[in-house]
Amino acid sequence: MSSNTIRSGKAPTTTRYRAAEYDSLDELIYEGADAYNTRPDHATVVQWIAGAAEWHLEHSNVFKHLAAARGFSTDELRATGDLAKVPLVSSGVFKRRQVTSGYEGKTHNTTSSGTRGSISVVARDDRTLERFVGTVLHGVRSFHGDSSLREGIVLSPGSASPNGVWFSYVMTLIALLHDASFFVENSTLQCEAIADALESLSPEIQPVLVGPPALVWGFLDYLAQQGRVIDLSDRRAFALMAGGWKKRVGEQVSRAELTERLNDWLGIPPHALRDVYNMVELNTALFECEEGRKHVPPWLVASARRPADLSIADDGEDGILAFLDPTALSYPAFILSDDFGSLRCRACGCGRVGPTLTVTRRLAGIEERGCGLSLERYGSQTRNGSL
Amino acid sequence: MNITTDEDVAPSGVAVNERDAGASSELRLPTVVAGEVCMLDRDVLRLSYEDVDVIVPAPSLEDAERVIASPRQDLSKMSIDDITAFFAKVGEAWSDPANHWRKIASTWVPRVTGYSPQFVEGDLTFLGNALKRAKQYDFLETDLGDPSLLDEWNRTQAVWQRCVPQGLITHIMVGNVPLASLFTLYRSLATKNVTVAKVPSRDVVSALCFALCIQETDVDHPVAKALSALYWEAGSVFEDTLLDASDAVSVWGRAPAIEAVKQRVRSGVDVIEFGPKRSFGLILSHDGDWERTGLRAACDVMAYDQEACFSLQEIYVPSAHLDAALPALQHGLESFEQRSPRRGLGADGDAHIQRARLEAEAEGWNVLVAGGTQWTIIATDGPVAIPEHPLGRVLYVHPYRGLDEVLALTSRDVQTVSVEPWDQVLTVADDLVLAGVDRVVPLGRMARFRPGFVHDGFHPMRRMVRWVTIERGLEQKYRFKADTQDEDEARVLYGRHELPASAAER
Repeated sequence: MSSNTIRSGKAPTTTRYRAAEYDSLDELIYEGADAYNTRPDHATVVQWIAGAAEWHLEHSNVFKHLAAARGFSTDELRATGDLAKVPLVSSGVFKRRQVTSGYEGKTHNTTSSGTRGSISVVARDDRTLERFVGTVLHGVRSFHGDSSLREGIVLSPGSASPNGVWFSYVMTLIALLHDASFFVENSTLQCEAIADALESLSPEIQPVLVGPPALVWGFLDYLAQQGRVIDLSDRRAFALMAGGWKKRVGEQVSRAELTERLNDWLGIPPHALRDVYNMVELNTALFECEEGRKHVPPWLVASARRPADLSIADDGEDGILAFLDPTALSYPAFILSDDFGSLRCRACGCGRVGPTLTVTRRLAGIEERGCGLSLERYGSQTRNGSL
Repeated sequence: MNITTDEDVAPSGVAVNERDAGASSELRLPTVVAGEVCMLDRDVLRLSYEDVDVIVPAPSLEDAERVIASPRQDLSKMSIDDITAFFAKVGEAWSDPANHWRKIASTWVPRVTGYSPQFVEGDLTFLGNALKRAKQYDFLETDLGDPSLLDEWNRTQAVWQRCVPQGLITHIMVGNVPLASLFTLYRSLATKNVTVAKVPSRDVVSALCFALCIQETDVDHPVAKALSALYWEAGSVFEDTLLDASDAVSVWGRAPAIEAVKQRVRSGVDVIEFGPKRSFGLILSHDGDWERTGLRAACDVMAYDQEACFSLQEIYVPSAHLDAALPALQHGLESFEQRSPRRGLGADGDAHIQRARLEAEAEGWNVLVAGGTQWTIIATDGPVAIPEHPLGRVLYVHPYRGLDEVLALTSRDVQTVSVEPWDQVLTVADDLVLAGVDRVVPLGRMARFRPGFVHDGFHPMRRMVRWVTIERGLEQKYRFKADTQDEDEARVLYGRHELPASAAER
C-alpha cells in the first residue's frame, strides 16, 4: 500500500487582495435578482473563492496551516479553477479553538446550540453578519417574493440568546424582513397565543410560520388536541422550518406527517412547507423551492466528499457535505461539515438552475465504537487560544 | 446496525440456519435460557449489520423467570476441580475445528464485527488454550489467591475464610473485544454463580456460540444449567426484572450506560463496572533499532483497530527522537496493514478520520497518511489532550521533554501504558501507576496478557463472590491473644480478674 511522504508544506504565494472581486459578490447578494436563473460563470465564482482564500491566508493561521499541509496556492486555483483543492476547515475545529481571520472592529461569538455536547464558536464581525443577513434576504426574495403584507409568526424567543446561540440570532432576523411576533417565553411555546394571533390577522396579511420543526409540530399538536382549525388556505400562508430537531431527534416525525397536519389544521398546502438549511459555521442560508429542493446560492460552492479520500462525490452520491463560502471575512468559511448528503445538478421543476442539496443525516458519534471514553472529561485539557 | 422485531420469520426446526441470499446473508441462532437451548419458534429479533442479519429469539418475561429460578445449589456445592475439568472439556470442544459452534463463530464473527478472519481466529484459539486446566488455575489464582477458597474453609490469621457465589449475576456486555464476553462468562460460572449474559449487539455471535458450546458439552452439568445467554433491549422490562433479582451486576460500556444501570439496581447490590479507558505508549530512550520499535507500536495499535481499552491510541516519544520515530511507525503500520488489514469502518468511521486529519493540519501538526484511511500518524507539537480520538488506526505521536509532561495527561482513565526500552520500566512505573495507570507492559504486548493480569485495577472474580469467615474462638490464640476464654470473659463480662465461682464451676 503506497502512502504519502511526510508533507513538506510548501508556503503558498499570496497576491494582493483585490476589493473589486468582492464588489461583484456584494452586488449579487444584496441586489441580485433572478440569480437562480442567470448564475455567474465558474470563473467568477473561482475569483470570489480565490479572493476569500487570499484574505484568509493572510489573516488566519488555521487556514495558513491547512494550505501549507495541502500544498494549496491561490495562484494555482486561479490558473486551474479546481475548487476541489481548496483546503477545508473541519467543523470540529470550531469546537476546539477560536478560529478567526481578518476583521475590523469587534467580533461577535456566535455558537451552536450544543446538541451533541460540545459547542462550536464562530467569530463574526459586522461585515460578515451583514453578508449573512444579505443571504437570508436574498433567499426570501428569490423563493418567496417581496411583500409588505407579510407577518412573521416566529416560534422562538424575541431576543437573541445572551450566549450568542446562532439559531436564536437567526430567528430574530425575521423582524428585519417583516412585522414579526415571537411566541416562546421562558422556554415555553405559547400555543394559544399563536392561534389567537393567526386568527386575528387582517385578511390581507400573509402569515409566515417560522420555527424549528419540533415547535411547529408542537403547535400543530396543540391545535389537534383542541380541535381548533385555523383556515389560512386563502392567504398564501407558508411555513419556514429551520434548525432541525436537535435534542428532540427522538421525537422526529416525517415530512409527510408534518405536511398532512399543516394542511389539516392550518390549510397550508404541502408545497408551502419549506426548510431552510444553515449551520453556525456556514455564513449562507439555503432555501427550499416549491418542489422541496434546497438550491445552492450562486456564490456558494457546495460538494459532497467521499469519506474514504475526500474526493468529490458524483452527482447524487452521498458524502460529507462541504462548503466554500466566500461571504465570511472574520473566519474561513471553507467547511467540512458534520452532515452527510448529496448534490444534484439536474433541472428542477421550479425552473431555477444550479445544484440542489439533499441532507441525509448527521455524522454518527465516535462513542458508538471503541471503549467509549468519556471525552468531555479528558478534553478539558484541550489547548485553547486563538490561532 | 439495526434491530427489528420480526414476527413473520418462519420457525426453524434446526438450531442454526445460515443463508446467503444475494447481497445479504442471514444467520439464525438460538439462545440459552436456564441451561436450555431456546429455539426460534417464537417471536424473534433481527439484528441487521452491514451485509449480515442475525436472527435470535426475542426474550419473554417467562424466560426471565426461568433464569431467576435456575438451580443454584448443585453448582455452589461443586468443587472447583470439577468445574475446571468441565471447562477443560469445553475448551477441547471449542478447539476442535469441526465443532459446530466454533465453525459458526469463525465464519460469522468477522462478518459481524468487521475484524479480519485471522484476528478473530487468533482470539477464538486463545480462548481454547486459556481453558486448559493449568491455565484456568493460573487465572483463578490471580484473582482469588487459592482456588480452594471456592470449596472449603481455609485458615488465615484468626479466622476460617472462604468465598461463596454471589448468587445470580447479570452481565451486560459490549462487543468491541469479543474475548471480553467470553471471559466474563467463564469468570462468573467458575465462581459458581447463576449467570445471565446480555450478548452485545455489536457481536451477538461470539458469546452465543461459546454459551451454546458450554451447554452442548454436557447439558446436565450444573455449570451448563446455570447459564443463560440471550439478547434483550436496554431499558426493557425484561432487563428490569433481571436486574431486580440480581445479587451482582457487571456492566461494560460507556459512562452513561453504566450510570443508567446503576440507577436501576437495588441498594446493596454490587455493580462491577468495566468503564471507558484509554491506553498509550511511552518511549523513554532509544538505542537505534527503530524498525523493531515501529513494529511493536503498530502491533499495539492494530489490536481491535484501537477499539479496545488496551489499544494504543497515542505514544510519547522524546523530542530528540521524533524524526527517527516517524518513519519507523509508518513502516510498522504499513506492514500490519498488509498482514492484518484494518476492517472497513463505513462512511462515519472514515469521516471521523478525515476530520481528525484536517483538525491536526489546522493545528500545524505533521500528518502522515495511507492512501485511504487505513492508517494515520499525527505528530503533535507537544503533549496535548486529544478530545476526540477517531480510532481506526490513528496514532497520535507526542514529542516530550520530561516525564512530568506525560504524567500531566495521565489519569485513572488510562488502563495500559506500554514502555520501551523495557529495562528502564522501573524508573517510571511508580509514577505512572500513582498517576492512575493500571497496567504497565512492554511495547508490543498490550493485547497479550500474562498470567497475573489484573483487569482495570481490580480482580473481577473477587467481586463475583462473597468473602465469608468463621472467626475462631480463643482456643486459637493467634499472635496477640494470651488470655484463655475464661480469663477474657472474667474481665469483659464480669469486670474481674477471675470468673465468679458459680461461673467457674460450670
